[in-house]
Amino acid sequence: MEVITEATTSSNVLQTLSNQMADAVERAGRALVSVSGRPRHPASGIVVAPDQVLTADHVLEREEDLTVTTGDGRTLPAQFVGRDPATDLAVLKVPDLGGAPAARASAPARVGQLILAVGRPSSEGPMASIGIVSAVGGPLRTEWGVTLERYIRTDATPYPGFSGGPLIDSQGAVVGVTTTGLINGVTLAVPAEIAWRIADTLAQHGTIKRGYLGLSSQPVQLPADQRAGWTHESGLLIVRVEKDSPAAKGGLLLGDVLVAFDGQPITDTDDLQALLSGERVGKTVPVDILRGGALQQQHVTVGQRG
Amino acid sequence: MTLETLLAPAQATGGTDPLSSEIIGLVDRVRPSVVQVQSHGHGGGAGVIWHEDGKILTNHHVVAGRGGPIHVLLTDGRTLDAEVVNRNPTLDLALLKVPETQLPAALVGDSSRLRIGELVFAVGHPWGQRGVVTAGIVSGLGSVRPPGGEQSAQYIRSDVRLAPGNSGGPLLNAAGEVIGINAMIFGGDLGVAIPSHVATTWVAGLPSRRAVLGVGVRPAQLRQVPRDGIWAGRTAGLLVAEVKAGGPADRAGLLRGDVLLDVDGRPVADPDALLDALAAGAANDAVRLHALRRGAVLTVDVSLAPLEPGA
Repeated sequence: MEVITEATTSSNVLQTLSNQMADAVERAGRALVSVSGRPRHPASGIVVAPDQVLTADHVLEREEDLTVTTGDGRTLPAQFVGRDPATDLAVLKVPDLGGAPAARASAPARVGQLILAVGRPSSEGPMASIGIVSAVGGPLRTEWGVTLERYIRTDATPYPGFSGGPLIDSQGAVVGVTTTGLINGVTLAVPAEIAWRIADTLAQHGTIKRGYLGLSSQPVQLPADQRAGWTHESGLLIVRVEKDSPAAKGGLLLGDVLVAFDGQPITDTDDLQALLSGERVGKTVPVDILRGGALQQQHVTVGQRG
Repeated sequence: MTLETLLAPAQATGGTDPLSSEIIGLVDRVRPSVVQVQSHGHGGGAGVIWHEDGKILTNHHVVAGRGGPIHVLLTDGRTLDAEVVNRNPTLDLALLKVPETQLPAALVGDSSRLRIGELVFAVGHPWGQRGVVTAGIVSGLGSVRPPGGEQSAQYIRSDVRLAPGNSGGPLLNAAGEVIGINAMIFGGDLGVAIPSHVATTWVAGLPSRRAVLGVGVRPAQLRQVPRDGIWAGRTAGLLVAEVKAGGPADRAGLLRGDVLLDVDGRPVADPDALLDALAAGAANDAVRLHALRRGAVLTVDVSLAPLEPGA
């Protein structure tokens, strides 16, 4: 062994960054629990309120006999509160949890930002991997046919049991909730702002309401002289209308071209999905369509997806 | 993920940001202390110059096997013959010695205070490519009890990218200190390293001299296995092919043609097992052998006389 004095004095940026990363993991680790909701393979969860844990939906293979294990080694019974398969999020109530909730990042994730994926796959202590924000995208059509308005993609290694854990920034604040369940094998995170909003709704109602029209459509180009006052270049051709559906009751017909919904221009199916959010369920909204080359307005009462 | 990704833009523009400069400096300082270990013709793995007097630490699995010459390649181009001074398969560590002094020893850090999230760097020779540096963080700290093992082994998990050829090389912290010896790769994305404090403790506890029996042995199938007692079912031992005159084995009465069954209760079916057993017994200055002679089991107590290393 030989002492190289240079090493201890010159590595300031590197050692500062290193300490900062370790501090961030430590900070995030205080609001990080292990969630037992499936045989043999615990996953991770984030403390979002003194008695509430946010985790991934797909790691809960049962809704009873759930436990969480805290960083200080307590294993506590947890009650199932609600789940949203579309965003792969679920909320648990843990009466004796205590402790401070996780801090949320104040700014949205940016591509290139240094991040850490953190999880508590076992009682052995937290685990972490480093990476960057590889993409911030959206909307994302999940296999549930529902659109996640924004998602974060990262190249940080997702160790087994990381789903439900946080993606954190260099300060230890939560940027997103990690999941490998939305697109199989790809590490994505639901942005913290969306995740917390869904957690609130799940805590209050147990489910997430999503709008439903009962039609199938495909994007079509709108010739410049057939846009009827709108400026966007494509709309949605209705190719199927389900019997007795909200679309059928609202007078929408096969062959109509949807150009606007509740006053917002529609250019593709993602636009429409994004507008079919929970707060529009039960509301009657204007729908602009092109029928026989002329603009018409119908009124449709948005149903709720079962 | 590797930090190389993060730093690429700075290098592409020809300039170096402070972070890159420090990593470059760290690697430049450490690289001379990282050697390549070649064992019986294989590319083998990496090793760390542990002491300037010629002690080199590597993984046991890098030098385990049939024996044969071990070569150590230094970054200055020298190739040195090395011998295994001691080994511990449970910890997957081996201490080598090369006949050279004033070697650039690595700076060894204290891994007992490692924190998850700390930046780490691995230097090694993945797939034989020399001096490759990869970056990541400490992902986890844990311990495993190997099957049949008495002591549990501590390990560091990291997300640095490792491949065969990294084994035995250093895992460095942000100060460029060795905090682990890279050992295993699980599934390609989970590197495992033996903490440096485990390695330091092991090296410090080794006897200052080698235990030498003074025999030449080769593996042998047992034909006349005793039917009863603890020997029943034993199929392999070590045939004593040579007994060094005046050596410990000779003085204890071991004869050419005897077949060694165990040393201090440890079965010795191959030469590596004999070396391990001798290393363990060295602290007591004596070992008890069981050997087969003309169909009967013989108990021989051997005093391990202090001899010069190399015998």
